Amino acid sequence: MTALLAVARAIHFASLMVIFGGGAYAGLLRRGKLAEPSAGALRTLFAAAASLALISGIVWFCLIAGEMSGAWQGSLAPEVLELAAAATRFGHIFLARLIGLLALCAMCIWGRGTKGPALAGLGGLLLASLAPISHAAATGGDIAVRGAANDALHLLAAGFWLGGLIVLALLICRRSTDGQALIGPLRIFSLWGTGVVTLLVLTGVINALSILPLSAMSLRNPYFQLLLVKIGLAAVMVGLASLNRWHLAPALPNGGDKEVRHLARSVGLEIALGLLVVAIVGYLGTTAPH
Amino acid sequence: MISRTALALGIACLATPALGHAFLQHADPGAGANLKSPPARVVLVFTEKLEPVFSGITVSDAAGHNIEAGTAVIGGNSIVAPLLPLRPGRYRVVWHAVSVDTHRTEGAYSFTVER
Repeated sequence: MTALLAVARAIHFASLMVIFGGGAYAGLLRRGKLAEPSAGALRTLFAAAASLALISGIVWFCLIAGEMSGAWQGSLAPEVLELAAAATRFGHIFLARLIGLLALCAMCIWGRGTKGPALAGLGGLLLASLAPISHAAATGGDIAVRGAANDALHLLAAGFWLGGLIVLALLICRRSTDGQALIGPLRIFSLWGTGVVTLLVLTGVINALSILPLSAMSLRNPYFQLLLVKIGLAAVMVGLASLNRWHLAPALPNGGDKEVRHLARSVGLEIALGLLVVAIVGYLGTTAPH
Repeated sequence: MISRTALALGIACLATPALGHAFLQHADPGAGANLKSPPARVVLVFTEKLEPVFSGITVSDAAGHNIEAGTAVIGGNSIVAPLLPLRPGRYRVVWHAVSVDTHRTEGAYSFTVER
């Protein structure tokens, strides 16, 4: 059941990141009057992500209720679910988030147009609202508020990166024979990406130090081992992002299909690594940091 | 940029690590204690804030009978269980705690009231 919980968490994180980051990046493309993915592809992406966010959010809540009750069977017991929803911090946050998730689904499935900024706003709010139930917010008082705020920034930064990359991938698929049209969107992504990656690194360092005392930063600690793997994967992503920005993107104006294919492959790999990082985050939240 | 990084790292270094799970930090009476006079209550203090509805405690005598005088008070990061007047003997404390980030921990220990 821990594996199922980790999977539900990872799907929930990833789907909200797609909506926040994808919505924000799509909004930036529209504002800059740049090439965009097709409206149909964006609508399908956001509708799928919103549905997954709702389903995984409910599964996550049920599994956590069972875990809190001390028996996984509690995940399906109405009295346990009612108690968890009515009398715990996780439950109160879940109920508020459930309303937001339903609104997100309605907006993505039945709403007209892709509504990038509105989607990004609601998706970002739902993503950031996961911070008060994170490891970083477990201690009461100022530290919890500071930890939760830092974690929220970390989630939003990661969300912009991963969600933006997926929308960029859709755009590359659409304009696979028109490298020229990709230059503007890539420039915008790189511009925002630099700030986002810097924020991600800073908040990540603060997060790690607020969760792990120095004594727990040992290779014998499985949580720390996994955290190092996550940092390593994120470092490779930064390497790929640099390759895109400094090598593959400058080759587009004078290049052809081959250059676009190289870029597509690099972006695809970056997305795969990003999803792997989110999967690790899904598991890390189910384990004790030390 | 360097000064911003230094500032952020400085803030991070001032942060007190959160444990993520509610571990037992202090117990009164403590594990394995030999007491000359019987305690009126058992007090458990944890490293994190607790969810009262999913946290709890039982204190029992050697025969397995519960010896709590009433409902335990669970609030903040502590559990306080009032006890009936205790006779000399060995007593067992069994607890479970759910931290506000939903993780569950549990444990047990014994103490003795001497004759």
